[in-house]
Amino acid sequence: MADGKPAIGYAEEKFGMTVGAPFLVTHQSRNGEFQVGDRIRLVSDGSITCVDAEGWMPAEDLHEATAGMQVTLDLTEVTRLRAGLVAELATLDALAGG
Amino acid sequence: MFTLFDPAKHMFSVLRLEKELAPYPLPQHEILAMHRCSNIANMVIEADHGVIGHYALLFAKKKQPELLLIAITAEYQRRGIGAAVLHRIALRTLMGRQRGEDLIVRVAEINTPAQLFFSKCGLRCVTMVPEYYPSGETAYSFRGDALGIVGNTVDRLPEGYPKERSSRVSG
Repeated sequence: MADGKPAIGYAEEKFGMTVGAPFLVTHQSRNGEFQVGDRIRLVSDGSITCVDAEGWMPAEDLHEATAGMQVTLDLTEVTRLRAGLVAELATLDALAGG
Repeated sequence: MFTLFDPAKHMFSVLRLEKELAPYPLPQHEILAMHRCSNIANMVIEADHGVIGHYALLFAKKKQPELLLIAITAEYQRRGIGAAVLHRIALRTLMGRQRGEDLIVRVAEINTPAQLFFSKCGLRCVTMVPEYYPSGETAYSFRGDALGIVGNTVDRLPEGYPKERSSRVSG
């Protein structure tokens, strides 16, 4: 926060988000940019992408855009991703073993 | 009501509007490009603590101002907000330039409601632009003089919209 702008790790520190993990917005941000139910992810450059808005919010705008927002890990999406990976792993195992 | 577009405050709202309303929604990088362009006025329309619409106006040297886009969320349509946008643009055109200056807007062939709206506001379809959109679709070019637009929109403005200045110009 050297020049008053959030550092790259802002979302990690404030919301406990980890890069690449799917999160759900559970309380909308004060200015309404993030809405309840939005599916979001933290990107390695510190920005947050939103599937539902089809856009991204850069790290330097997060302080203002996320004020008042609350998020939770999207367990449904985690389960779906995991199932996909397990299936892919099974395919690879079959290839390697067969 | 009218606010300059600020990516930190309005980006997602504008993207949602584009997705909901535009036949060819603008992606974020194009909205940002417009925002950075010094001769494009990129505005949002706010009401009830949220963004209900946006528009972008191009001012090119020695050319008529061109309304690049206008979108108002369905819930707030038919309340005179679009008319207020055109009214405001026409008034500013009149104040900044000579009377009789035209405003141009291009509308997709399939977008009949928008064509009707612009006709009611005093613009006329003057030409067809084949393959205007990336999809190859034709656009209609509408044109109207600022004074005529002021006259045609003044009675369509939303309740409470200041009319004093407009009546001075149109009268």
